[in-house]
Amino acid sequence: MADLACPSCGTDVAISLDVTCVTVCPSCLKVLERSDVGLVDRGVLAPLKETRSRLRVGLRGRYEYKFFTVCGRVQVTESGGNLWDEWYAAFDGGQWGWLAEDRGRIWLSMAVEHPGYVPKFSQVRAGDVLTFEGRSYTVSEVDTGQVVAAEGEIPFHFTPDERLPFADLSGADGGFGTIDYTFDPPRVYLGRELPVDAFKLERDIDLHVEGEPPTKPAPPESICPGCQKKVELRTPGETVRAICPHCDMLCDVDGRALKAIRKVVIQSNAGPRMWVPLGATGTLRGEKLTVVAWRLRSVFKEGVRYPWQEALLYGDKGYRYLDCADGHFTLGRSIAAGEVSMDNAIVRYQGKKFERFSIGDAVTEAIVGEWPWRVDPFERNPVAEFVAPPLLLARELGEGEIDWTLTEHVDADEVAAAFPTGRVPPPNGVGAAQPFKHSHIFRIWRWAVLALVVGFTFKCSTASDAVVLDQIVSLDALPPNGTGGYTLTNRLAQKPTETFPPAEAGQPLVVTTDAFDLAGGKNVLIEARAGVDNSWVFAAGQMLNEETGDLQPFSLEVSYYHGVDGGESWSEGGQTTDTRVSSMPGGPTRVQLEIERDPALTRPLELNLIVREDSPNVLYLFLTLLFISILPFIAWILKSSFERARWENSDYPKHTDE
Amino acid sequence: MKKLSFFSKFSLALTVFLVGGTLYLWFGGKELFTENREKAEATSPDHTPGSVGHSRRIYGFGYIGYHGGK
Repeated sequence: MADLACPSCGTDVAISLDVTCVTVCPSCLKVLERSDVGLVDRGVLAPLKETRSRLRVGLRGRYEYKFFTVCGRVQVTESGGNLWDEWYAAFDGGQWGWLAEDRGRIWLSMAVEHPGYVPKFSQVRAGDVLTFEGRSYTVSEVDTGQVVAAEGEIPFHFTPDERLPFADLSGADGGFGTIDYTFDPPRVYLGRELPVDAFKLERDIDLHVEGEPPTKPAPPESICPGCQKKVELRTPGETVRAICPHCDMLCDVDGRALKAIRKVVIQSNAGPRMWVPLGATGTLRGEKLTVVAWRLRSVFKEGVRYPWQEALLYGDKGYRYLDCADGHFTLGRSIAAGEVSMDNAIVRYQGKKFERFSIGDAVTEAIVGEWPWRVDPFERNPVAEFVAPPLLLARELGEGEIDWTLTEHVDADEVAAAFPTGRVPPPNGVGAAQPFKHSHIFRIWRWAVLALVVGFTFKCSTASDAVVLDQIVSLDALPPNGTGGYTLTNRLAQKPTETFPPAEAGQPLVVTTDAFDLAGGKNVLIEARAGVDNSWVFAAGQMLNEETGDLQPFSLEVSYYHGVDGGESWSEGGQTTDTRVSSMPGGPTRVQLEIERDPALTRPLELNLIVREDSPNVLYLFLTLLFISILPFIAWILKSSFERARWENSDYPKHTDE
Repeated sequence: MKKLSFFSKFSLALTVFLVGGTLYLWFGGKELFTENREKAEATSPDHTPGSVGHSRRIYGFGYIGYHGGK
């Protein structure tokens, strides 16, 4: 460690790292460049702005298994006016990296020794895809920054007025990078966005306890340079531009100071009217949010104006966008450009597919409030929307910048409940990201079909389908008056055929089968086969448990007719039939049949009776599938109409009558 | 359930009823469209209506009254 004196004010300045190029005098804020002859004054910086950072110079911390010390910090603004912190972290062992911080989000990046091909600054464009270390990165921003404030030790040379050209890179899974064009050749830093709790800090910083500035400084009172009236900023540490609520003067914001740019004409008559007042606070989707800005934007297509409102909300997790078009709301946030991939008309984000919906050049028609970027009401920005209801991805191209916003449909009722002071416009038509409210029906149907198929498959695989009786009833030839006798043959039990006499005069022929054992608790399938040909045989039957006396009636008819009519053959019925009965108690059981047959069927007739136990009924599968599909079918018709209405508003209509 | 529309809730209830009923039929050994089960009234072979006089035990055929067919 070297202790040196500031050449400007004489304050002792310590330098602890070999790679330090510049340090900042804590007293006079001079930029002191390290040289062989000591420290050289390179100019003065502005005081640091409070950014509510978790980090502090001198803080020790750990990332994964590496310990680091925060040695320095620079505050950089880009041309849009955004200000962010970059913390210089020196890891134990000699490595160092940058912790970039912007509105609560933190990125860690480290220098890449051999980055390969790096395009020149004049060649790189927002939206370009570059490859470093085998990974693809989308150029999210090309701009020139400026160090406006700093503290501690800094590992590169700079002067307060120096412009620092850079290109920000955005990759998948939070990948992040920067091409620093202040070096020749350019340096590439790669890293990723980290959750704020990825760091293990030496101590939790309690700004109040440590006597540092409070986390939320009291809103300063600023004076509008246009009307000399007080302007109260709601997010003074974040605001870059604001519109005076008294005289509509658009002002740059620098701390408390406002610098007039020009007046903004509010076209209030063009409509729609601002639905929520500035300063309104509400809890939406679990976040407490305050309306800090609002603007009315439009695109014009073939002479038709399509307006929408954008409310900028601020909460503990940063900014949120609450857009309203035709009374349909979407709530969202900015996302990294590298998280989005495009393939012709399809955009993918986190594996979800979005379809292109609209495209146009957005103009601002009215604007109020305070903005965290250098908002330009006189700019025309190409915008595009991609939908995967209830989600909507919006892309906006600025000067050297590509911004993606992920929003989700929010019901107007939910918005009205969150912001009771607002006047939520009634929804008109179908919103771009509005979900079909009965979509759950299709999910329910899919689960039901799965349950049915699995249930039936399981039942079939475990069902015994056992033949418990296979009896042949051989009916004698039918005499002119009487029933004729019959014989019984049991094909399962090896027993001799039994012969039985006809029924008594005037009585029907009743046949009782051999006894068989039922396991009980299972359904029973009774099959009958008879060699009928243009005739019929009918049996009114009952199944009887001999122990309990339970009696289950049923009937069977075997009927088969066929012939030729007008040169075409036809047939009706068949020589087999079956019926099912519910489970019977277990035990010895018999079947009794009262048999009638076609009086013309006088020849001997063989009737084969087969009884199966535990035979799954596939009819219920089809019947249930049919019944559970009725409501989904109605919902599908409604959804088709709903989607047609949605895509009628699109620049890429999918549903046309052509 | 809060986000389900009434139509969806109705569909869910109906679907659960139908699928549950079907599984009950399959695994409970039940069949629809069958006549009600009853208890036999007479078990004596000598007093059973419809007896044809052979040695088999014949039970209450008074239930069988259908003489349909072609």
